[in-house]
Formats: sequence, structure tokens, C-alpha cells
Amino acid sequence: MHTLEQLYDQTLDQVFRYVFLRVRNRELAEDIVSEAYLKAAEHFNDFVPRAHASRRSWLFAIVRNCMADAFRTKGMQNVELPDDLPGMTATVIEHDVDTNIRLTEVMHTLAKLPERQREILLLRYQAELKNKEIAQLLAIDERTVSATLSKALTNLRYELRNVPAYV
Amino acid sequence: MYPHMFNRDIHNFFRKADVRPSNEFRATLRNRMLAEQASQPAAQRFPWLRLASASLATLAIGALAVSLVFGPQNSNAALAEAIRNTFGISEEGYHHQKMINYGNYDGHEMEETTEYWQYNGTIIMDTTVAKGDGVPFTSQYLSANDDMVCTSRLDDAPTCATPQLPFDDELVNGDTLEIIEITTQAATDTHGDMYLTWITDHQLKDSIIRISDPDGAGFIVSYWHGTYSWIDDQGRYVNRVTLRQDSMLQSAITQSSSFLVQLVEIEPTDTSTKLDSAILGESPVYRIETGDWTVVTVSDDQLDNIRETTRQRYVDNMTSVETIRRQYENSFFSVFSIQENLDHHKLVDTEQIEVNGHAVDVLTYALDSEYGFYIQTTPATEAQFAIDTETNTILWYTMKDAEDNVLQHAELLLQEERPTAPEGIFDLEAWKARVTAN
Repeated sequence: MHTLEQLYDQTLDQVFRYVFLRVRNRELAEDIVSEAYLKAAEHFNDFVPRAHASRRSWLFAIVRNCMADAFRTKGMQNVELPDDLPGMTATVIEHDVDTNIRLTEVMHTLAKLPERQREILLLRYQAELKNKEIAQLLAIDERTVSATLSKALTNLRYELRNVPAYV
Repeated sequence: MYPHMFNRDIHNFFRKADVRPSNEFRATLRNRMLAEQASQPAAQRFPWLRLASASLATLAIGALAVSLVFGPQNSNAALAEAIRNTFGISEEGYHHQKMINYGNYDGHEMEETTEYWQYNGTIIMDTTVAKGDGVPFTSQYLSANDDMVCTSRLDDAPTCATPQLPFDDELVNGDTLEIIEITTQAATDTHGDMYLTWITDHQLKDSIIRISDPDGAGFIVSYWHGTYSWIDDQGRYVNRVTLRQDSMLQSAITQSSSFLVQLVEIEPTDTSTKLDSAILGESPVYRIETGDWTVVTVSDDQLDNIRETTRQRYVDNMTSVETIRRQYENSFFSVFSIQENLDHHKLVDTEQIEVNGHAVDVLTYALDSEYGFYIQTTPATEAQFAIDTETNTILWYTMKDAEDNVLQHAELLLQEERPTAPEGIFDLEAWKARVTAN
């Protein structure tokens, strides 16, 4: 069982990078993340633990709703990734140039993936949700999550086949 | 790059390429969030207050549940205690447990059921492999008050022996130590490893043993300073594995349908070559003789070392009861290192669920790859422990790979404790008859 503070400490980084990589704008990401946690605080005790349901999937459902609201109110769509990824590289571990370069490459490649594959990949590896939690969140079968994730990784690997680090 | 390497690399890469919120944002949002929660009506913040008509007992349980909330700082200690409670059974009273364990071991699907009884220091452990790539397999262990250890397998009458100190301080080069004969069917099971572990734990720690199959085409294992070394039947060095890589040992054992384990004879040495060198294949000192004996030549220094480490091993009182109990625990957790190295693994999630009216804490650990690998060829990346908060015992354990595939799942099916044992449970003759009948 989490307290609100524990939940916050354990998930903030995951939530932030998940939102940031979806909206690709730091200010907007901060707005969405703030909104999500305030809603979580408001409804924290409405969560009824059930077998195999986790606090994290509950929180991510709130996050996704907040993100959808933001997309609606601001009329945002999934935009093409800019070349220099402003606001992103500066936040990456500074001394790791290789990571920065690879991040850009991987993010460009991610943008080419179908929306569902991209989302599941980010939920799995950026938000570090389990397949079961993703299934709960997206209201799909866990096997579908697993299959989509596998397909996404295959596609990602194919798209990155010419990048030296992945040859 | 291979697919599984790519997947792992991508996973690690995302973790490394960490995009973080600023510290200022982090602190500000935390304060706003806590203020938001504090502004909620009391009944919202503390839902148990809604239970205005609840009995005092109910409220007490609520308070207890709050006190049982795990924090990352104490979860390791709590988990260790729960493991001790589950498997480190006290010597007092009658204990009976049954567990099921299934998973993929080195590519083999396997499901095994283990039943365990203990009373007054006597243990019986029966393991049945119900599914696998090979034929069904059953093994039984009996340890009667440390005076006798019996092992058996399908179709075989039990083999019983009294654990003895393998050699005493008077041992000199040339002494024949002891011969232990154990046979096991090992086509696809992991129990060959279990038998071998028992022997090494008890009598052959840092000593030298030979394993060969009855047809004489077998192989040799040396167990030396925590290292197994494989020598083929021509005396050629095959490989060297560390204690942490028992899967290789197991794989080699499973190449044989059955095998014998013997302590080798030690004869006077004519070389000062270190045995370690021999293990590395730099200067073999093994001599293969025809027939059933393998002769290993060691130096006096090495013999002293063997004698001392073995003596120390006995001083440490590694009794058969303890060892068999440990085997039972190990059957539950195939990744031994998880228990032994909790500090190396990161607690990533704690949640509480309800199972059959009991509150159950589920602790999820991200495994350090260096420690999270034991039997499986696929690296385990996550382990989950479910602890019944009322009995403070482990209910189930699951281990997964990076793609969320279950590598192993073990559940405790039955737990029974009584002051005294039901009559006849530990009747040795009845047990033998039952095993033989199987």
C-alpha cells in the first residue's frame, strides 16, 4: 500500500518522462504532470485495491486523462519531432554525449511507429509499467500488450538497423 | 545485435536517458499536492473514519494495517523475516507444507510439487515432477534426526546412509576416503543438482569428487574453492564454472541418465603443481585409470587445505536436516541470490491486495542482472514476493524476464502446524514402503 508521498516519490520521474516524451514540451509536461498529481491527491482514497490492480496503473490512468484534456484544449496533435529536440538534451545526463545522440535517433525512430506501438513501448520502458498494468490502463488484453510490445521492438530494431550501436 | 540484447539495451537506454523534472518543480508540486490532500475533508483523507459504527476491533485492525505499510527502508528486513518464517521452521511442533513450482528451466518446461513434513528434527521431503520434457520423476528425501539420510527416486528403493565425517585429522596422502553411491534419473530434471549439492554441502566441500555414469563413459567434477571443473572421461579439461553458475553444472549432469558419485582416492604426490592450475588446464595432474577409479594427485599443502576446510565445514554444523530444509526453500526460490543479496535489488513497487480475506503485501524488485540470474538462460529482471500480513509468510513468488514473461512461479499450497505429529507420519519403514510402492 502506498501513501500519497510514497506514490509521488516512486513515480514522479516515470510519469514526467512519459508525459514529456509524449508532448515534447517541458512547460506543457509540467502542467499535465501537476494536474495529474493534484487530481490524484484529491481522489487518493477513492482508490479501492483489487487483486492485481496497482496504484501505478490508477495513477497513469489519471495522467493519460490529463494528457487527453491538454490535447483537446490546446488542439494538439502528435507533432513531428524537431531535429534538435529542444528542452530534451539539456536534461539528459550531461557528460554522456553518446546517450544524447542515441536518444535523438531513437526518438526520431519512435515517432515513425504506429501510435499504439509507440504508446505501449513508452509505457513499458519509459514509465516502466508492467504489461499487466498497461493492459489495465488501456483496457486491452495482457497478451495484446505483449504482442504489440514485441512488434514495436521488432520495428524499432529494424528502423535502427543502420545505427552503429544497434548493428 | 541479437533481439534479446537489443531489447535489454533499449530498456537500459531509456533508463539511462533519463529526462527528469527540475528539483524546483519536484518540490513545488509535492507541496501543492500535500496541501491538496490536507484540504480534503477528514473522512476523505481517512476513509476508515467513515466507519462510525464500526467496532473497536475493526478500528484496531485498521490501525494495524496502517502500521504494516512497507517503506523501502524496511521492506528488505520484512521480506527476510517472512522468508525465515516460511522456510526457517522452528524445531518445535509438527509442520506440514506443500508447494507447487513451475517455470522454464534452461528451456525445459517443468512443474514440480513438493511436500514437506517436519517434526522433532526429522524431515521428509517428497518432490514430484509432474510435467517436463522427459518422463515423470519422483524423488524423496528423508532425514531422521541427522542420524540417517535417505534418498530415492522412481522405481528405486531408498538408499540410506549415515552422514559421517569423511576423514579425520589423521588423513594422509594415499588414504581412500569414502565411497558414496547415489543414482538418479537426470534426463531433464534439476534434481541431479540437488543431490550433488547435498553431497558437497555435507562431505565434499572444497574436496574432490568424481561423477561418472554406470557405463563408465562419464565425467569428473572437481569442487575446489567454490569452483566446479569438468574433466571428460579422457582426462581433458572441459570447462570451469563458478558456484554461482550451477546451471552449467546441472546441464552437464543432465547429459547422463544416471551417475555415480565417488570420492576420489588421494595418493602420494610427486608434483607440487597446484590443483588450481590443473583446473585451469595449464598443467594437468589428473590421471585416468581404467575401471571405476580416478586418481587425483594433490600436494601436501592442498591436502592440508582440504582437511582444514572440511573440518571447518563440520564445525559449522551443516547438518542434514538443515541442508534438506534449505533444499526445500531453494525449490521455492530458484534464484537463490535474491534472498541472499536483497540489498543489490531495487524495490520498485509495493502494493497491498486481498487474498481470501487476508491482506497481502506484494513487493516487486527489479533485479540486478549480475545477481538476478540463476538457472534460466533468459535473464530474470523482476521478482515479486507476496507476503500474507497476518501470518507474515510468503504465499507466492514470481520471477519474470524483461518482456514480462514468467520464468518461474511458486506457490505455497498448504501450511499446517500442530503441536504433535499425526501418528505414523515419520514411520521409517512405512515411508520406505511408500516410496518403494511409488
